[in-house]
Amino acid sequence: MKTFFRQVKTMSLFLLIGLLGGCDTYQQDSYKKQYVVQGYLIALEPLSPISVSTTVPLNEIYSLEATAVKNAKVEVQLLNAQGQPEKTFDYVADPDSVSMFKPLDTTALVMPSRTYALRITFPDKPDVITAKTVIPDTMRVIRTNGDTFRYQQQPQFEQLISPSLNPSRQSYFIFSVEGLTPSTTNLVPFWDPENGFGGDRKPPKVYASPILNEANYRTSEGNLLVQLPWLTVVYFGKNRVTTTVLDDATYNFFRTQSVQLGGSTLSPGEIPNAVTNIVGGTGVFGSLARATSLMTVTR
Amino acid sequence: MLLHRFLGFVILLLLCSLVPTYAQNASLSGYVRDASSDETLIQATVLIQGTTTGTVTNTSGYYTLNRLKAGNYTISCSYIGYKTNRLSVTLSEGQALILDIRLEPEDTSVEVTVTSDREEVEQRNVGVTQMSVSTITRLPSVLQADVFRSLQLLPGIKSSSDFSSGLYIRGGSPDQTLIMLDRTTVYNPTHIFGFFSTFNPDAIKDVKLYKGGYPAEYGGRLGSVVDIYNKEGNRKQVHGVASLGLLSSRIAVEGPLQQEKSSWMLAARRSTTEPVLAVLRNMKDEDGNPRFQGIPDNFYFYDFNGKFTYDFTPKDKVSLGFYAGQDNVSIPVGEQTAFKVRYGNVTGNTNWTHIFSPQLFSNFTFTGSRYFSSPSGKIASTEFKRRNEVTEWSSKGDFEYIPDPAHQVQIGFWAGRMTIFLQDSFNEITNEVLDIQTPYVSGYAQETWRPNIQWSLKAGLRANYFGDGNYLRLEPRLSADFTYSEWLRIQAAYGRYYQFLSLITNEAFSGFDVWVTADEGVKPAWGDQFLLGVKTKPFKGWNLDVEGYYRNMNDLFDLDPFLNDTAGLPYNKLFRFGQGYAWGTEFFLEKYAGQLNGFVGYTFGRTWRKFPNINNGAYYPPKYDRTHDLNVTANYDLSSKWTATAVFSYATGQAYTEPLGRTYINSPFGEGFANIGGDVLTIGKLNASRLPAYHRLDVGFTRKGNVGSWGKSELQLQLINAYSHRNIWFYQYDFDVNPVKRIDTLQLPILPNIAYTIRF
Repeated sequence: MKTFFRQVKTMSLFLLIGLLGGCDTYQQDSYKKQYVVQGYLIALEPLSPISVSTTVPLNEIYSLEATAVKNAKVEVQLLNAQGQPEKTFDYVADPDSVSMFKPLDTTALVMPSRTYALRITFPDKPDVITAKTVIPDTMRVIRTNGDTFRYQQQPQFEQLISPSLNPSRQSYFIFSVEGLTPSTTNLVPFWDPENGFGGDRKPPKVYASPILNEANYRTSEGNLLVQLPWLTVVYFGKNRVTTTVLDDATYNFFRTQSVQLGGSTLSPGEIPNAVTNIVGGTGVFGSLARATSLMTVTR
Repeated sequence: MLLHRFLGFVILLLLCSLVPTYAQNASLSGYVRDASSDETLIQATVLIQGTTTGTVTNTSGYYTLNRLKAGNYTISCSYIGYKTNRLSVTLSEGQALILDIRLEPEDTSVEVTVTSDREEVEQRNVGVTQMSVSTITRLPSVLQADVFRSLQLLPGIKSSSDFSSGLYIRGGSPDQTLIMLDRTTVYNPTHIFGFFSTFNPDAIKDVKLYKGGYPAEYGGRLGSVVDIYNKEGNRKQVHGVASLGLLSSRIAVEGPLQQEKSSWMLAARRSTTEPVLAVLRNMKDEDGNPRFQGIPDNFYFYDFNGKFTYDFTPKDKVSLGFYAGQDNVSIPVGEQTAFKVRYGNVTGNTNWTHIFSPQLFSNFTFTGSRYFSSPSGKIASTEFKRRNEVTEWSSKGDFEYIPDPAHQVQIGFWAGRMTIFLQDSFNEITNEVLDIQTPYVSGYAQETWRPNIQWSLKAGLRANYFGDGNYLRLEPRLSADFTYSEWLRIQAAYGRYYQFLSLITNEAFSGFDVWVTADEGVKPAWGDQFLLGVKTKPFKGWNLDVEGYYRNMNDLFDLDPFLNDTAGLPYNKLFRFGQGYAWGTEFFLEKYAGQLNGFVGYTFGRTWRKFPNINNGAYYPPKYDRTHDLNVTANYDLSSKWTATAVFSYATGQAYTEPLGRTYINSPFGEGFANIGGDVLTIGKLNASRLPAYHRLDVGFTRKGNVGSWGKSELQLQLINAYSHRNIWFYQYDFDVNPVKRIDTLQLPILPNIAYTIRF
């Protein structure tokens, strides 16, 4: 009996050590409302509008109207090499578009390879939202291998694009195809609900690739030779093919946002926050450069 | 400085072993075998009765007792599930007697009625667990008996879900466990994308698991080792076993080529899911449309195991072994889309065991291992395919020198060359993601010193060289075992471990697994393990083990989960680098004898990880962190023919990330298949919430019988998840409704299982 109690004591000691070490200090935190900013400046195009809204708790109804922020002071600054404002562009609320602020200056073009800063303040509260983006270098379509292609023919539509130079890294691209004559009778077989993978999804007007690295397409001359996958074509007829280069902010936001609901090596249920360049909120104040060409897809 | 002291200690122990301490010079050595098949038995106990001198057989089934006085002895040999064999021997001065000992199997339905002290001592060494094949096949199992799913019931070992056979041991991910079949590394030990492990229970002789603090003879992983040996085959007569199950059917045959000198074993297994898939494929709804989408056109797996063993001389044994397994699936998704994946493993080994003298035993192995995975598909004539291969050739040599009963010295080497190739093609653009060819060499020395009946000290040092990155790393190992009394043993162990490989996997789908290696700019991961164990025998027929562990993990390298494309990136930019730690206390209460027997395993533990730019750089629990984990298994002999088995599991819900808020960000690019833009979740701490607790009860009944006069039969009736508790695997979020609806992704429902086995 003595032996037994000695054993019980030994075991109890181990159990106690274990339990004392096990107090959980890693507790779930609670929802905090955040400002949401989205805007993309496009090289050599007029300043784009910027949306300002807020998040909602997951279990509440979401609507842009309800979350739109109306009384913000939005300005975008072109910075000089020293990081000081060289020119400031004021934005005003767009009465025709919920949550949107539009630039007063509609003629100024976004300058490639320059840095722009966003600053949002509020007349009735001390909150400040800031962000910066470096505009990607421009590029152009040097040539294509034709303008009319039979669906799924080989060779595919091919375009040679000049490089968008970035001194610190290779460029990241997204290719998208916009059907200029979208209608249900114009759908390619893959998107036909009877046959396809699209199933009951509504066929998109613009269909885009994932983010792709420049190294896939670089030629020995330093240009990019891009063959358009037939997978990206949704409609017969005329299509606009756009090659878009992403700045760091857009790249980081979308590469992290796109795996929130799966599709990566993360365990199911392990959801990361999207990486944002917005200080004082979330979302993306990014920039892009793009080049387009047209092609016609026949049956 | 610490390392120098440690090296000094190891050298001292080695020197101790070389100094003759006794004048006696007779010896006794040989193999311990199953009397019915002549199969060698691993870790059988050989004792000189009336003394404390004894040993256990090594992984080749060989034992040595040295420095014995001339005289008459009674040798007692025992092994779990076998009748103890007592033999009288007479040793003359200087005699080196070779004595192969044969044990008769116990004729009982419960194999754990007989235990041998020394064997039990070895099995209850710190961090060690051994599971018999009969336990594996007896436990209720989802559709088929499975080695890894049985191991998951032991304390300290967790599964990620009902759908995964992956081993999450003491807070480590599955790639932190070295998995070896006949001394050959297996790189993807799964069938059905992780649902089952590849090991066919009919072919297996022995499964040994080092949960932590593993000795210097093993290396290359941060956490644990699963060391599996296939049967050599019956050396006396042809025997076989055939089994029909719901998921697969299997057959294994073994026999002699030359009586008592050579043997062979062949085992085959193939899935039998085609009829079920055909029924599912042909089921229609009210409108005549297929009721289920995406039912594979083609889905099967198979595997083969084989071994041939030949004794050239009493001192030389050679064996050739192989494993080949493959999974194939082909899924049509509409006229414009098709998806195929083929993955599997092939391993082969040649093993030569040579006995130089009663004191010196050696084993040399040449191994080859290949893992391949080749998913491919076509969507709207756009093709994508992947070529993913790991090929490894290696040679190993292990020497055991036993100068006297107090000392055992082991030295060995392992050298090889590994090739990893990964190539992705999309729309005719090919990207060679990995093309790694690297040599590696490791060597170890280890001394076990038993100065008296109470103490056993083991010290070892392993040196590893890895070609890519030119890394040389030293791993000291140390363990001590103190037997306080018959009912109490105290054990402690420390070890440093390096890992030069990392597995890129998605726990839901192992068919795409990719291995990567350390290289320049990618340092090998390393960690220290500290173990403290108390092993008790509170009552006759009962064991109670308590083991605590702490381990850290440093320089973990893991594929950056946010990389959309790897083209053009330097190798070190493919990874995120992190660290982690885990601690826990495991309780294992076992009743190993009697009509009612079984065990209760409970683990109280935590594991944490930290990566830059994740969770604001703070530690977070990975999904498989579970604070409490309880498994209870019980076997009850209802009669001489019927046995009932039950397994109950309870575990803290897995960690998951609770989305706190939402917003919507327009994609400036349009829609795509990469989820760019759209609904965005905002979260707080990563994995700070818990799914509901997991619990499940499996029950089974086994009826033993005869098939005429030529065989024995076994009918297994099992009910998995007997009270149909739908455990949650993870949550999904439906953004098509507003507000967002959380959807439970459930694990297995109640499942019946039936299997019929004939042994002839």
